[in-house]
Amino acid sequence: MICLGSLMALMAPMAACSSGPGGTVVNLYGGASGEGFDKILADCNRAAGGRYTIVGNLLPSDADGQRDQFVRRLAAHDSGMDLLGMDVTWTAEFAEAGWIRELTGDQKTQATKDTLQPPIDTATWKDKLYGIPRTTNVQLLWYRKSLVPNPPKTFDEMISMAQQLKSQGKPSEIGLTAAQYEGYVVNINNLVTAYGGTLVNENSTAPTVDDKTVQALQMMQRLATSGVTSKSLSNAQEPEVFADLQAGRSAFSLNWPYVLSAMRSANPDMVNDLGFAPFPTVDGGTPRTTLGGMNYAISKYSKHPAETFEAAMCLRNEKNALSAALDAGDIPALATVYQLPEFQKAYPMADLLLTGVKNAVPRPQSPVYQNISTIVSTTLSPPSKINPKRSADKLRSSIQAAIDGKGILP
Amino acid sequence: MTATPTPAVAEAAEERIDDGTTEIARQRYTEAKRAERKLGLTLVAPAVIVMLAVTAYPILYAIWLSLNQADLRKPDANKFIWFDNYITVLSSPIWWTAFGVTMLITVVSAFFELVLGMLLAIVMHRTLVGRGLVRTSALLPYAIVTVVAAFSWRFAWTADLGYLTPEGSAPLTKFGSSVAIIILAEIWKTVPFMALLLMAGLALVPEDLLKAASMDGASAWKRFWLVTVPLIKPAILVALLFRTLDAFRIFDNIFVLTSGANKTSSVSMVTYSNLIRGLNLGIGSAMSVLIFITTGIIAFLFIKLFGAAAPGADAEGRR
Repeated sequence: MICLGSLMALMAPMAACSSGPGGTVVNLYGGASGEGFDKILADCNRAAGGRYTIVGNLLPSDADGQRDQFVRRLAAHDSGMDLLGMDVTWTAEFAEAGWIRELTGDQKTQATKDTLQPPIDTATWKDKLYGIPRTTNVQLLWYRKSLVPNPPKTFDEMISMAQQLKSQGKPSEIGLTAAQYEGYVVNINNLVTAYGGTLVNENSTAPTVDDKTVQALQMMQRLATSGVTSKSLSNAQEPEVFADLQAGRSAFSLNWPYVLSAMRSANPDMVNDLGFAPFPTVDGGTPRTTLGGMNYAISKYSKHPAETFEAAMCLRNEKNALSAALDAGDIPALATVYQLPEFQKAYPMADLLLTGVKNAVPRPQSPVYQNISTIVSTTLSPPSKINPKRSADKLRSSIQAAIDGKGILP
Repeated sequence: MTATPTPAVAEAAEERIDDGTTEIARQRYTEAKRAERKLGLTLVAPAVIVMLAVTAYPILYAIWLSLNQADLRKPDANKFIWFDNYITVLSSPIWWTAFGVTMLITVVSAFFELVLGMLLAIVMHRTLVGRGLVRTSALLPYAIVTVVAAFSWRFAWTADLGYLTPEGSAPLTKFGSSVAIIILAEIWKTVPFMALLLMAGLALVPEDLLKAASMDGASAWKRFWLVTVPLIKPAILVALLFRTLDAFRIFDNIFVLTSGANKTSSVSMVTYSNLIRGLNLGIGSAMSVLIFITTGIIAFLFIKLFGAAAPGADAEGRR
């Protein structure tokens, strides 16, 4: 494409018309390869009316690879990235490093309007808003209706139901992610919050590992040794947990909402037998599970922050959030989408999801979250070998070392 | 101040003249040598400057960083902390696990590479028919990009997919089998390199010696062990030295095969996680310096204890 601007103004730097569309370009990194996202991009580029063009750039497919590229380029003050599609766990780190812009005033109002509070919390660090929540996610309890007439409310109930099914020789496994990776940290965090605990304090200055953590670890250890989990529990990630359910080995499965749409194509016969219920708790109260999802943040080094903000708001407006939910299975952060009939048709569990998200909690918010996550998954793996008291002590001292900048990453 | 030369003075003068000529000659000689030296220095100066810029500066900068608390996420909190980073690294079980794994991989793979490399070298050296074809095909693994080869190994050993994976097992999810696969990939990849270096050594063994030994009734094994091996010892040591240094810095195979899961990280992998992933320049640089020191020690041991000589060094250089 010819860049007229620089032909007319000879002094204009060549960088202004690098390859690609002419004029102002908003470079989006992250979440640009989802199913049907090209439709959303085209829609927003039309809406921009030629004032800017959003270009979706590809990132590595795994979260670690994505973060690697972000931090390397942001630490080098790369102005080629404008809009960052960020994992909800990176906010504190990026904000503390000064890589992303705080949203204030009118932008803050717009970004939080109609948006569910827990996703806003994931985009907030030290009472300042740094992101525009785009998608959210929360785990549910999936179960086989033919085996389990009434879904369990607590972990204790679930374990005893599974043991009963096992003694009757029926499918009885409880599926959950417990391989040594982020998904295991999510489950540990689920249990810690279920007992009312946390792992670090609000401003991430000290670990808060206490008896509630010990109780949570006891429960995880019990779950892993009660004989009702998969034999390869310590290697189970989402695909394995889903496969166990699909193959009919699991009676219960703790997993994300994608299970329903995935089961429709993987094993249509099972869809009618597939039930969903709120995540189990320890006391029968309200489940407070771990939030997933993605927020849009504007790079500090972007040369077009205003256009970037506008682009982000378009990419996640009601229409586009619905389209992402229907095409790519992205659970919206906008509350209004949950009321749309199209959404409710595709997501029969819409109400359950909405309640789940409203009561959900972020993962430990800390600039050293990456270290904390690694510490948790390595210290507590495999789950059957957890020694609640000793493991908790080790967690406490390792997290403290990470906060002090003394910990090293494996 | 006219001087009337006395015989003694004349003698002395004569002597002085003598002295003078040799001195002049010496002076001319040293001048020539100095000029030559100067020319030599001028000629190597560009190379030295480039080397200083691309090697010495980063090394010194890494050493400086390793003595600082430096995190790219907190650029304003940098401060000089002496050897704290080294204490942190050296007191960490993560570092020592990685060090042990790296040593294990280094020793086992270097051993097998030497044995198999020697066999391959002999085959390549002795082949009479299709020598070019044999050599080319033997060198193929070395010509494949390590990352590409590592990916094909990874797919071959992936549970349920890989053609090498036994039914119902996932070898890349356990420590022992993961390390074995990493070593296998390393050996497969670098045996040709080893064979190439050893073959160069084999070419130096005079046929006459082998024939004479054979005449004296030495068996094939004895000819190999008592004639060939002592003669190609320098080549063996150089090959081993190169491979040990390379193997100690192993990164790509592990990065692709396991990404360091199940405690299979090498020291280079741990350094990468802290430096690139963690952006902790202080700790990461301390690790880099420790790797640098370790490879230095390995090279020193090889050269001083086993008498390996750098290729091209003359006999005096060896000890």
